[in-house]
Amino acid sequence: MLYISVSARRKNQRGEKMKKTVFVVDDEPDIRESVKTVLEQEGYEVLMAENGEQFLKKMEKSSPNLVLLDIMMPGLATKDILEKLKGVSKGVKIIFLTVVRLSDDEKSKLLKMANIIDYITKPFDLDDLVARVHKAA
Amino acid sequence: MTNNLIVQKTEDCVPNLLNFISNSSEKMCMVLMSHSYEFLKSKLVQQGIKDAKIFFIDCITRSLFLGVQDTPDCTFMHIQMDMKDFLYEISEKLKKQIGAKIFIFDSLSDLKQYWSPNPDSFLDFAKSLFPILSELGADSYFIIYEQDKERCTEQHLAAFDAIYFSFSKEKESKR
Repeated sequence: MLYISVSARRKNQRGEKMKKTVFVVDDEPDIRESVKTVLEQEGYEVLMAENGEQFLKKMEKSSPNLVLLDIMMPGLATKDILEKLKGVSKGVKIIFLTVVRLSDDEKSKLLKMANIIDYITKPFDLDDLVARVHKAA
Repeated sequence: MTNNLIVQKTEDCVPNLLNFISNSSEKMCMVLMSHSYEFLKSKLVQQGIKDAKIFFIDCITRSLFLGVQDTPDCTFMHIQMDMKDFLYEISEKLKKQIGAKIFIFDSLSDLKQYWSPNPDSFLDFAKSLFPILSELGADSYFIIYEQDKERCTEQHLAAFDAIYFSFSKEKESKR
């Protein structure tokens, strides 16, 4: 636990330790809350949004280390979220979360999209999710 | 002509679908909301199911990728925020499936976040399609995941002719 907590922090300009921030974007409240709880236990600051519109608005005032983005949500389509995100925050790393089953070719296509670094299929194991967040954030 | 609800474990969905398809010689139409067209096509090829007469309506792929074009055996669309808009668009696509005797909706559970506040509003969507499916003279199979059945009211469930646990007739569980 100590190792994990240290890994979730970085230093600010004055040398003080700052929490790394993960933005969880998912329309399912249960998933948002469970991911938030486990990531906060691991030392991360967690931001949340329930759809693409809310996410993009909050991104104007935040710069997370990592975004966990559900790719099938009501409202803005994923391709539109990614397009609009370019105008708000270039370079933020994104892990896709999805319940949808895609072909291997489609997964490869997704991973070639800008900033997409990983792909997690629901239902996921929280320990596995945390491990991937540590690796990516 | 019957409208059936199929209650499945999430992980059983693909094998059961493939089994159902391979055992059917009827022309069918499958509305995809939890598996992409490419994913299911690749599974059919892997299973050696080459002669299935299926038309797909894929509600996923166009949300993810730019430039997705219809193919001879698949049309693509979005799941819309307004259920009436979605119903209208999907109804127009279903009406074109003349000759299809089986319609599979995979799955209603994937709609549960779209049209709240009613926890089982996705069953309203299904019931709204019954008249069109009846006109087409087809049997329908609406899949929901096991954990979502508890969200459904008796009134909603009563609208279906039968409720099955998976596609397996042996495990049939009528109300």
